[in-house]
Amino acid sequence: MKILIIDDNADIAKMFSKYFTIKGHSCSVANDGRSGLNLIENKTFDVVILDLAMPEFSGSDVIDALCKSGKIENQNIVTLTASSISYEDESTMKSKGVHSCLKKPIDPDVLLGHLQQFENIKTI
Amino acid sequence: MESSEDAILSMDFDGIVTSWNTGSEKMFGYSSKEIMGKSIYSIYPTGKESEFDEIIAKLKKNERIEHFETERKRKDGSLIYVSLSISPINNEKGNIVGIAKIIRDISGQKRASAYARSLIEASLDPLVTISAKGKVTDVNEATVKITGVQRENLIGSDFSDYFTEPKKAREGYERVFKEGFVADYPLSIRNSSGQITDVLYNASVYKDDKGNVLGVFAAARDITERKKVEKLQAEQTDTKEKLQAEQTDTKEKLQAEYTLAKEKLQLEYTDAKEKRQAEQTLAKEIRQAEQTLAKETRQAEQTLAKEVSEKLKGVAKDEFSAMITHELNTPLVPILGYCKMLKTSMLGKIDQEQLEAIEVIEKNAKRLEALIADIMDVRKLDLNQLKFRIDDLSLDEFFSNLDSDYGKVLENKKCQFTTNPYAKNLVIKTDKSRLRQVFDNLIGNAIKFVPENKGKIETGCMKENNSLVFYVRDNGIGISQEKQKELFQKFYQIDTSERRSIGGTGLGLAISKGIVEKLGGTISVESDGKTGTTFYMKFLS
Repeated sequence: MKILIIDDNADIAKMFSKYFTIKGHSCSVANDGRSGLNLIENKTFDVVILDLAMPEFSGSDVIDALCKSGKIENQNIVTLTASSISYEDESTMKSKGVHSCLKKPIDPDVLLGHLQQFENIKTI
Repeated sequence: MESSEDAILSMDFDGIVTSWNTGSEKMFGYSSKEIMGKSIYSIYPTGKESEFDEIIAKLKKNERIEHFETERKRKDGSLIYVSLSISPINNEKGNIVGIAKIIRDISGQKRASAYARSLIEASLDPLVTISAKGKVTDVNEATVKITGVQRENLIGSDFSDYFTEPKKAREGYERVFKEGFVADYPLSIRNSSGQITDVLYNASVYKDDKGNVLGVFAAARDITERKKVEKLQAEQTDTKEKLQAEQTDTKEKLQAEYTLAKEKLQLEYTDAKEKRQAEQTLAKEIRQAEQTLAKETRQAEQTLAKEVSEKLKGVAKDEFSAMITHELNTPLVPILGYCKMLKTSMLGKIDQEQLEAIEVIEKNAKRLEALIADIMDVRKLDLNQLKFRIDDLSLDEFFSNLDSDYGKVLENKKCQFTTNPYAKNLVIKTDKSRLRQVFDNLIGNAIKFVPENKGKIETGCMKENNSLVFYVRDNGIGISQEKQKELFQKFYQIDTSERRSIGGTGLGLAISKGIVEKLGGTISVESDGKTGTTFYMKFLS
């Protein structure tokens, strides 16, 4: 499975990348929203793990940009945040095309289990 | 007389000490040898000497003096709070020949009540206690401030006098006496200077040791700021609508003028060229006027939007909590992730000792995670910002989820777990994830205290008069009457020394209580202090 991790915390991105790679997946990492967006615009991943709270260009900005370009239609996105997210924010995210909103900290195994549902979906 | 803890002493009318027991020696530091035959003024603090004459005057009128609270001085000069009971000494003929005093040291009591008052005074919210007849019995400084009325004048007056709608205020506290509490009850306080403050009241009855209702304790929260924002937003909408209406009006007027002018032109000018030129000029003028109007409207809208957003900035939002949650949770992600990888030998084989070390790190990181979540819940409860999502909840589903989540795990620990939903197909309205949080807290506690290999935990629901009562029962070590009182306080743990090793944040029960109350219920505990504890959560149905 091709996974993209967008997180401004390099330790977190590296840890997940390492974990998923050992488990046999192929990982790309972006440490800010803008470079993450560039990667998605040029290539489709099986799933993108997107941190919401990032300086300058946040996860929400990435989602808005993907909505504008229409790219969000064929890109699976799971958001991950250490802040508490309200019901309203969660449903806004989902209405924009985000698949699910997960909370940090999360057991990497639990996260991977969640991502496995995207493994067999062929993106066009 | 000699063995008493109280000071018992006597004197004649001139204040010369005629007897002095050991209680007096201990209390004041003077031996009986030192003070007998001397003046009683030795134990009067400077400025209080006149009290002696007042006492004599009262006794001569045959008045008894009991529990007179004042200050006295010890030999070392320190002051103590005392309560005096004074009676006359009569001779055989019935004439008064002296005075007997019993003195009790009440410094301890005074300190305790001063401490309780300092806690009440520390609250920025106006707090007030109300008697069954609706009279104010006590207030804090915040109440004095918000009403503009002095404490002496507030106490004993009608609670309802200070509101714009006295009838609604009366209905409020009557409801508290009837139902035990009210939450977020809206009222407006009228200050003595006429200023109005919008508040939400949270109130509940308070009781004595025997469970008799003594009165109502009510806390108000100032929501003026919130109302201001709502008003500003409404004003913005109004002004916008007004501007739009004005714009439409002006446009229509301009068009009417244009039509009129055109007709006039047709009548007055036969020359086609002149007519065209005039028309063009007029059309241009109208365009310019329309543009100017649009520009002005836009500017007015922008100014208004800016004003509103500036004012919104001043309103307190709990940004602090949001930031703290994020900053504390973030470092836990790589800590827990790498623990997992090390533990499962993904980064190479590790020996038993290393495994144990990693498990300790992991266990403590998880405890920190739970503590952060609990602290944030407590803060939100305190600030009244905990969000609830009320939905249909099927009790069958709720209990079968509990069963599948706890049954197997506890079976492995040889602990019996049973669920008793009250009735098939019963659906209630509540926030299921918050209710589940309360059950997780209570079951989590039960697991800690049940006996090894023969634990029993039962959860369920039953109908009681007009209420639906949930319960969690265990056969653990029980909770004594004394500890039951403190159980729901923040950071309370049953046994601070030994049980801390079991873990837990000490906030679970305080949060559970907060959640149950916000959902409109009450929580209580029952235990004989030896075997087993049952927690009840009661909701009016």
